[in-house]
Amino acid sequence: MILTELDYVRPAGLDEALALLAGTRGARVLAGGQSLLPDLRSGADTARLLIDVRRLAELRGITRTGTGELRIGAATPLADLAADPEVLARAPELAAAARANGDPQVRNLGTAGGNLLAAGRPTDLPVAAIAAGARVELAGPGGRRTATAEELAAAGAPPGSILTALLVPATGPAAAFEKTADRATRYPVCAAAVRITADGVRVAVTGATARALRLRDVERRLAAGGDHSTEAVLAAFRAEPRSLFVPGPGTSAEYLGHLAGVLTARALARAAASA
Amino acid sequence: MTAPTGEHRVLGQPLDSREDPQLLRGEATYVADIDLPGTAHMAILGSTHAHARILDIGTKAAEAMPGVLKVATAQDFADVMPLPCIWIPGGVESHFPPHPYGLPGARPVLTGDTVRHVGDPIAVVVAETPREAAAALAALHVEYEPLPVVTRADEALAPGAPQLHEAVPGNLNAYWTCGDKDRTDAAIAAAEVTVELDLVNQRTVNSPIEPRGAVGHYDPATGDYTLYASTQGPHNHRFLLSALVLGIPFNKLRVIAPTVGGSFGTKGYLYPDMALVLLLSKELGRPVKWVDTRTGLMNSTVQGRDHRQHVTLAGTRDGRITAVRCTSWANLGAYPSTIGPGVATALMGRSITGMYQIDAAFCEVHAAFTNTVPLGAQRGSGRAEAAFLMERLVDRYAAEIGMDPAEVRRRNLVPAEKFPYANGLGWTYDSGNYRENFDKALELAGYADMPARKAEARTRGKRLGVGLATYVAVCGVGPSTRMSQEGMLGGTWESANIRVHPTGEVAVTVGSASTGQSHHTVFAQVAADEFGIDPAQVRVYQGDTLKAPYGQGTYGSRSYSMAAPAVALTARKIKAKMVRAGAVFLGVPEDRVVYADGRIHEAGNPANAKTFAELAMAMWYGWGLPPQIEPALDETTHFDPPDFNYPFGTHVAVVEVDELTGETEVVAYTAVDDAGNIGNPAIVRGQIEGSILHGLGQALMEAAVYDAEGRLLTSDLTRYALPRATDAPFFLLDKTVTPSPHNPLGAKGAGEIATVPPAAAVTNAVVDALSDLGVQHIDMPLTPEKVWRRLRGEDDQ
Repeated sequence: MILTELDYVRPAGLDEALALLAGTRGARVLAGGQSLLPDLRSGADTARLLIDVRRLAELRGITRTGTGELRIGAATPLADLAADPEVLARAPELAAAARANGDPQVRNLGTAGGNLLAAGRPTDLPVAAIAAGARVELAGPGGRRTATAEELAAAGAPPGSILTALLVPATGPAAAFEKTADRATRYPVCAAAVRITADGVRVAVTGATARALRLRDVERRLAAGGDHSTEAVLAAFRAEPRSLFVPGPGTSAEYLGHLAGVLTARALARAAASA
Repeated sequence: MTAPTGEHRVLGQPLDSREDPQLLRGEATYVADIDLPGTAHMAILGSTHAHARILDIGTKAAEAMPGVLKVATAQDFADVMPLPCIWIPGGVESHFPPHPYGLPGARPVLTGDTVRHVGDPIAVVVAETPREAAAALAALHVEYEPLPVVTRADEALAPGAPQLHEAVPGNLNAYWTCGDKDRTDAAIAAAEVTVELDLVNQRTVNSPIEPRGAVGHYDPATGDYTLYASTQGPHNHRFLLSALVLGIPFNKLRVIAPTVGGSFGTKGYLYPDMALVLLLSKELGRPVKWVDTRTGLMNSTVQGRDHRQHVTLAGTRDGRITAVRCTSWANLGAYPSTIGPGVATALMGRSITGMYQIDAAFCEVHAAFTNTVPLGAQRGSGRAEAAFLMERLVDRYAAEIGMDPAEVRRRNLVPAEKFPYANGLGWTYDSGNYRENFDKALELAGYADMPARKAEARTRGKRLGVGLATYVAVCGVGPSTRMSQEGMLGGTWESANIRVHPTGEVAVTVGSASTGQSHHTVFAQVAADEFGIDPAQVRVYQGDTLKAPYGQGTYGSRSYSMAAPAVALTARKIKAKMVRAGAVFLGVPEDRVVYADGRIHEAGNPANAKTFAELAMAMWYGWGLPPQIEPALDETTHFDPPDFNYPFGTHVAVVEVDELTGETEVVAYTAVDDAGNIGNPAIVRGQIEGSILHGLGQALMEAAVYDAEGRLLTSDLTRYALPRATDAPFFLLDKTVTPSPHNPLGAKGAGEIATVPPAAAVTNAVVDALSDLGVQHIDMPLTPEKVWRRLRGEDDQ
């Protein structure tokens, strides 16, 4: 039960949505509602106005851009993202991460943008977007700009802005995502995403860490050793500071660091096999 | 009494459950769906401290809030009696909070002086809307003086522990024993081999899909109270609430159970909210409704298991078990629940020898109060804890003497010729062929192939483990006099009424109340089978004390072996009457009348006949009946069996443990259960699968975790892990059929029986997978990190 009174509006276009967001105290953007609505019910978050952007045409769809990127509208349902042939072929870690979320109902309602912005929840998409070297497109009062997925994971979206799209380099298929789901929430205890590119290997983890992170030191150690065996990957993770990993109920930092290494090794093996 | 013979056309068939379409489409009416005109909404404030004196509850701000009709605290209900406890540890001294009638008391409807667990209800708000009630609840200001907290039974019994109840010295509800202590101690002292384990059978949260709810409606015109509640036992709750809590005439209270969305043992209990909605409805002159939340459920509804045990098994070097001994500390929680003390003692203790013939056995239970949510039943309760300790011990013993655990079990099974078999702890097993059942399960599981499968798994980085667990689960509660000796303060018989309508349609009305067991389907099958008619002609009614014959409710897998026999016996009474009256209608002597295939006819002259519907109409008119035959077809039976029934079975879990992560996957699960004659195998299969998954939950992920201050850390489903469909293993299911001699259907309990062994089977399997590392035991739940540490040679003891 949502205890506070709130209004709901479905704007006709992105400009109207931005204007409402700028002009209303307590206005919040609603897409799939898979994070915001539970938080409103539990009282963990509040809103006075919900601006529903889910049906805005400019926020939907998956297209190939002229620069060889996949443009994924922020309101694209996770289910569509998980099943899209282009994404499966060219950004398989992203499709796998989308599919790893929740259950079919959650994936039908939950959106790509909502998943990337679900602050406080270790959702699956950010880690895949970081490994993919993706950027996001943000619309705000001052116009449009882009940020890297890594920057978004670190800082969130600026107040008053709406995430409109995810831009993913379509360099696949040498990429993979691995996850150990929490038994209760199905969020990752740990998830790892990797992408093998001409420049080397990109590694990102989430769940075990405070937020989705690219692990450049791990990447460097792997590049230096030239060895992607499980033992080598585990050693690369053992060299990370223990404080990188945040213990949870029933899981120590030591175990999480080890698990992150195991999942990364498995992702690397799968990525290499599909290259 | 004999099991039925001859053809069954309807019984034993996997008919589709009648209830399912409306449940699946969301069309069923639960308590939350009941909206009487003028309903006001109640919210309950639970204590935020596990143990504290209440210094003050500031209500002024809440009373001034919009829509608020009433704010009440314990002072408002000073005249209301506390809830009673009706299943106490049998035959021993026990201590309870007081009740004015001298009965064992449980808890007040609102706690006034000292709160004893987080969630202990201390105030209520009634408002126009649920939202206004919740908002006002947040405005109540409570001043607490915290007291020391104890959350473990063994710690609660230690000198100097915080004291919960004035009337319960040292927090000890009872010290209860069964079996022969001297003989057992002597056998253990003299044994060739002994093995011991310290076990934690962790507390688990009962998690039905539907949290509880209650709607109270007082009619000032008649003075009648009606309670709509998610209850397993409407008649019982009517009696307890009217006579022992509210002090109103029994005649003035009607209890209705609408559709109940699961229970697993939680909804047979009296809870404060049931009395509160009735009292407040009378005061406010409006229906009052309360529906719990998930977190509310986790801090108010009875929880399960929670024994700490030291257990010992003695045997010979050649695999014969000579003795078993269990010392258990049972955590009853802050207050006795309605039947919790009986569950934690007799249901566990008398069951510990399971399927095995053991010459000396002894169990002692220290049942203690602590600052946690009250303990109650949970699907398989008592028997699951018993099977866990026995089956863990047997595996330890097998490892100790270097014998295949299957062979050890085989050597100790109670032989088929020994039935009825007294297990030395108070149970007399009715019937069984354990060897047949055991061998069938091992064959189905492919037990002989396991060494090859283990080797193959290692090539994939997996350690494969196999775990066996057998069980005997006392069910069919039960024989009322016997249950009184076990400390039950009430009857435990069951009932059915059958009314044949003038059209030949049939109404079956039972005293039990389904919480999802498809009673509407199965009881119709029983009646249709007895009558030889189409089950579509039969409708089943239940759950309304105004309409249903007295019955004790649905619990302990009892409905098919308690209520269904009452249905069968009632149908037989009606058939006998049809034969008597039929003699008149057919114009032949009674011994010439044959009842077959839903009609009567003259023996040797099938043309001289009356159909079921013709008889029904003739009995409705009553024309031409002699004075000794009453018109109409309307009969009732109250069934009280001579003894319990004892379903049993063998389960085999196959797990794969990931060598790198410690994750455990149950890759195959074999269960061969024996529930006697089965009414509807599709429904029973659903119960078996659900039960297994329930047991896997305890083994792998479920645990109610309280912190040192007595706060339940796992208080919602993002923190308390429940198994999901995707956690279900590959099931290999079969059955053996050994009818019970104790009821006319030859039935045994089924609903919960398969919950009894999975925790043991899975734990045995994981320990097997790690056995070469010297691992002897791992406490549940078997979480990945725990297993990973053992893989690395660390000890978690």
